[in-house]
Amino acid sequence: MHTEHGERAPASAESEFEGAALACLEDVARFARSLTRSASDADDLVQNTYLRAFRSRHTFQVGADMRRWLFTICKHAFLREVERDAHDVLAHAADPADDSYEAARLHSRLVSSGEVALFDRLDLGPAIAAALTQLSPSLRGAVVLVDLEGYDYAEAAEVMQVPIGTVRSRLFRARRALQETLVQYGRDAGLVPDPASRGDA
Amino acid sequence: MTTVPHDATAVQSFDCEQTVRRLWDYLDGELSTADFAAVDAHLAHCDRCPPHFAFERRFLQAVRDARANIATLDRAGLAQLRARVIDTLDAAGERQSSGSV
Repeated sequence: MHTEHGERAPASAESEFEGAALACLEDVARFARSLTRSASDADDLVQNTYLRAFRSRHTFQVGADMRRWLFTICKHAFLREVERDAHDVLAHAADPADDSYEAARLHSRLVSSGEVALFDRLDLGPAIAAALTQLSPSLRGAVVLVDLEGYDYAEAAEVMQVPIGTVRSRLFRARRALQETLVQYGRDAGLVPDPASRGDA
Repeated sequence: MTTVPHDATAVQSFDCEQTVRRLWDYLDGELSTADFAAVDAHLAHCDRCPPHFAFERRFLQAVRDARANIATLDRAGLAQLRARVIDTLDAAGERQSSGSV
């Protein structure tokens, strides 16, 4: 570990680093669980994250945000395991504002069909948590960082080490996918009539 | 923004499409001051757009609230994971102090 002036940190600072890093364990564990689909994979990811973090602790600047630094390492460790997904994401180049516009159109359709009521009838917390697991890792990462962990676009971009526009693009597509999944979930649960099955009598 | 105000001090207003295309940027607090004001100006006199914003605001709050539904570790699970991480770091010789932290 180095100070902001690039000097080698004293032993007490090393100990402080360990303490500060391990104090973030619960946050890192929750972040890992939101990225992976199983508790076992999440625990492996946490272990891997800490090993990588301690091996590169010389790059940690005293006074920097430890939680964000560990999230960055965690995200990288995870994405290395799913590189294919990252390539899939690059294939989309549409204007993210289109997703904003389409979300408003979806709302209009739900109002017209009466399905908007499902958002009152559905227990959204568990449904959203389940829907998150269906997102690709990169899209899920954007939602987790911005919507669940409260980072702004620039901070999320720093963690994901991608341009801000990529965060925005992934975030908006993820939100739309979540909404579509919730609607389908409500239809499957019989909370609202499925338009496809109506009007045939 | 596609239009420029004639008076730099006047607040620009968007039309419906321009407004909803900025819906999520607005709710995330990621718009420029001028665009934020232009969206506000539109919402103040439009009947159609505010319900979209209310719906999306509620959706985003539900996503934030879902944080509590993501499986977290109980105290015992966290202690177990902490022990496992420390064992891994010790085995790799990456901890400077072998005592508790």
